[in-house]
Amino acid sequence: MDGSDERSPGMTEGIDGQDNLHALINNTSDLIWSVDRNYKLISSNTAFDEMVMHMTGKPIAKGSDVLSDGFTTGQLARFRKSYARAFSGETFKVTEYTAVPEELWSELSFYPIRNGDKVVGTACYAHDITDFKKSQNELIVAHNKLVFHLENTTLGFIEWDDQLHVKSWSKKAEEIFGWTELEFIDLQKSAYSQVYKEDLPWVSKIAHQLANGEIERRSVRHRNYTKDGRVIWCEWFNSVLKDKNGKVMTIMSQVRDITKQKKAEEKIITASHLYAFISQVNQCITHAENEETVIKDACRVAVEFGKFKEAWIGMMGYMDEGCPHSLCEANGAQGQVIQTGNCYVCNDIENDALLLDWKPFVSERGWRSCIILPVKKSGTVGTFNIISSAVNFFQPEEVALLKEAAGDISFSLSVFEKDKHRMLMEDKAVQSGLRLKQAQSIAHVGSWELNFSTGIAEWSEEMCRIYGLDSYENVQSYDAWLSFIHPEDLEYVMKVSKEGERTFSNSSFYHRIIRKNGVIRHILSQAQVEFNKESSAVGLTGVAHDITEMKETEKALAQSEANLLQIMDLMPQSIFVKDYNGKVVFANKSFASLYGLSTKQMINRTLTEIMPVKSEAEYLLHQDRDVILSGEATTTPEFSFTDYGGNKHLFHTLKVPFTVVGTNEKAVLGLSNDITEQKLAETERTRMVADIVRRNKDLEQFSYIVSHNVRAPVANINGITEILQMSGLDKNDRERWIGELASSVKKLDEVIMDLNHILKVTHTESDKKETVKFSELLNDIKLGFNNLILNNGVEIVSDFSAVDEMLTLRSYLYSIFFNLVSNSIKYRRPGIKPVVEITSARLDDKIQLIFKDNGLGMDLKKRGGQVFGLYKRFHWHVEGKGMGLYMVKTQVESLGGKIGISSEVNKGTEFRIEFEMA
Amino acid sequence: MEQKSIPDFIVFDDDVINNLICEKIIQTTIPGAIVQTFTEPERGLEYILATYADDNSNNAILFLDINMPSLNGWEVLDKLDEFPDVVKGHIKIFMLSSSVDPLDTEKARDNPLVSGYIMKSLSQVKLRAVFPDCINPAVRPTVAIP
Repeated sequence: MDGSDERSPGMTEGIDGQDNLHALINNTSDLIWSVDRNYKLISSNTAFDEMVMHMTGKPIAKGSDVLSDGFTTGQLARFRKSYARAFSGETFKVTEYTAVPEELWSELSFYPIRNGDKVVGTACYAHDITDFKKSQNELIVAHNKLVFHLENTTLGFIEWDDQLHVKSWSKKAEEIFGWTELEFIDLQKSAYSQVYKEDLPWVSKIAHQLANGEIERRSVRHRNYTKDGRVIWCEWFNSVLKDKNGKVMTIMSQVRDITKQKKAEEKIITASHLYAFISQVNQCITHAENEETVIKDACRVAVEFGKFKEAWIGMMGYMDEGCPHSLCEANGAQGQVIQTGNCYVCNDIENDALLLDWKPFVSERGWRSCIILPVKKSGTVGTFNIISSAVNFFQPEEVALLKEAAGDISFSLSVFEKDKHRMLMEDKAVQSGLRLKQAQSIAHVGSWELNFSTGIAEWSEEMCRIYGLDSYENVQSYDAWLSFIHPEDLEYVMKVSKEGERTFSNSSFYHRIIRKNGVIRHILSQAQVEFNKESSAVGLTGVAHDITEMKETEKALAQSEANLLQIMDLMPQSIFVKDYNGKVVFANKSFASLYGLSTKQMINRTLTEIMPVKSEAEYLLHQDRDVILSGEATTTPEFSFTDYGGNKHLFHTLKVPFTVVGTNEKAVLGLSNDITEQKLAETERTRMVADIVRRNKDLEQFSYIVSHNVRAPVANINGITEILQMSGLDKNDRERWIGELASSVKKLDEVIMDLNHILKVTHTESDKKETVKFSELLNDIKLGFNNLILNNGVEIVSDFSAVDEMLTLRSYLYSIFFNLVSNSIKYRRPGIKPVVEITSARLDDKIQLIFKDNGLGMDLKKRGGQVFGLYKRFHWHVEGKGMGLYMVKTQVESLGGKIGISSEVNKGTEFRIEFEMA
Repeated sequence: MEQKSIPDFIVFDDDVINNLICEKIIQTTIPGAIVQTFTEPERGLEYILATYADDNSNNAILFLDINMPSLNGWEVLDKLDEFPDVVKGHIKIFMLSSSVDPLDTEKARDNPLVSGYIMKSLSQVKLRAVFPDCINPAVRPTVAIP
């Protein structure tokens, strides 16, 4: 362009070319013009002319001054300067800006016009760059803004790759989380590692969806960890950038810390709950009908509207349903609240020394913080306990609000209390007037008022009736009154009334009157002095109480009671009334004598205090209480009782529930029969019967012995005698039979000796008992059997470590040991070394002796019943009379013991003896 | 059944003297009679089972004591009861005891194997009361108690 312009004056290529060029120059919107050194316009295009016209309002002609009026001074100065530069031969560009009349940016180019080496003018070219300039400015502004935002925004920028590893991590992100970009990248931390563990499950799901492109953007709010371990709330704006193939390149996250905002939100929610709670409490109070409703509703509302975990009100002496038992006792924090009247706040129940009792509920019921507020009626009477599941819940604002709520509750409770009183009082006032009259007639109480100035008394209707007068005779003088007094009481009555008059003191006295018809009544009179405002006595008011019936009943009652008492004292049975604590309310003579006390001394004593044997007293107390609590009568057929002298009694007792006359006190009325003598006789009888039965059995056994064992040798003697009487016996034969006869006679003698022996055992029980050592006894027996033991290689093993002695008859125990050991040796098993084991043991209050051998044994199924029978034998090949075990059993039994056996053929036999411990 | 006129006699008793008496009384009363005595009933039972198992065996009279140490009379009867009928058919049993206990006599009467109860000791008179029946089975024995 500049070339064409430069060349234009000398252009001679042809009309067409010239015309085209002109058209081009004049149709462009750019300004083209030339100026000589005198600032006179040489040539210009249409656009220039139009611009000057526009700027100055005048057309410009060739040869006229270009620096004419219409331009601003600044513009003129800038142009002059630019022209001067061009005239100095410089080719250059400047940017011209003008704001008037409108914003206009143009780029001006100056090309000096030379004539030889002399500059004669300049060609100028102006290009409107307003639009360009404007958008450039806007761009700069936008850029600056962006930078500003990036630097000042609360958003952190984080770029993740599709594996969710950090690609970039802005300064702000560093501020939010604490980790620098390098740290985070170096640590190879995944996106998940800084997500709060409770939020991780759902956050990781979304992150995963973002990473594999399932979703393109998602904003989430969740909790994150910071480098220093804090948990913060963050808001994340995540979006995915994909390449043209749809593969995820980057996940862009913008994040901001919304912890404060979140906290504020929570605080607002809490506050709104609290306000809801308080307003509901107030509503409840307004609508509640009584104390219980207030308490119940306040607790309900605390949970329902206050969103507290649990709440209850514990009142002294009042148990709320929802309150765990152990928590109602006024100890620990609650006790402190009740004592001081100040509220107790705990923001960490788990670590609170005063709330140790509540510790289990931390994990069990999610308790974390609590506030215990005093509930007052007149003084602190209870606690309002509110539990929150959040730690550090009760901050000053919350505490203040809750105190207000508790105050409201206390206020309403007081109101109910006062209300109750007021209504009671009103009721009383209304009733009292009406009742007075009624009461007077029911109670036979008459009243009167005496005016000192007149000396005349006015009597009430009932007063007249008591004195046998008509109701119109209700005005009486003092003297008239005295005329009714029984002569015997007159002196006393006058003395008392004079005294009252003199001292102005109130008086009360008993006297009789005689009505006009001669009937005597018993009266209790009371008088009271009345004073006026000046404190001078103006009159007497009094009541007269007709107690005639009462007096008579009293007398009759006293008589009947005296009778009853006398009867009861004459009874051999013990009669008593005791209260729940075992305190004697009534005792008859028989009962009192058991304690060596009079019946009067017995009253108000407790049996635990006066009974010599405490266990008996406790048993009785326990039984009394059972009767009182169950309300059912009980009979104890036998109770062993030790009296004050240490004598044992047996009582048969009947106890019935009883209410002490004139009180509501529950007690027990008892009737005890001393059955000691009766019982002794009974025991003696039982013992005798048992003895007789036993002896009878013995006799039966004897009859059998007689039948068999005595008869056996006798029968033989009979038989031999018959043989000896036969004819045809030779001398040898005869002598042989005589020999057999002799041995049969000897056998008979043995049997008779045995019987004698047995009878001795069963009938000599008077021997003296002594302490016998088992080990010594066994040693004696071993000595006796010495040969037998040596010859047969018998081993006798004993262990008396458990118990080695007992109080017994030595001869019997010796015989028992002797027979059992002897049996064990006698019935040893051929070919086996005989071993006898003897041990002792202690079983409860019994001594047990065990004799065990490895001998022949026997079949107890077959012979069990006969083992201990007299002359019972089970082995024909061994010498024996069948007497040993019978003797053992007899002796064991006469020592009060028992014997048992277990045995098995070819294994051995075991005898177990049990003695009662002496 | 072909029979010898005189039965065998068997005595079970642990009392040796009694056995001697029985032997003597039987042999004097019934000359030629065979008497077997046993102090151990077990041996006696073995003998009976061995000797009387044949149809042609001789008949026998058993005097059985009650009170014996290893097997008593009643137990002997229980064992005998288990013997083959052939054996039982040859044996006639009398209890021979010194017991006067009515329980024992009742028990003897109630046991179908027992033909009678003889009170010790055996005498010629008592034996004769038993013996004719052995010759003529049609006649039931009369028990004599002295």
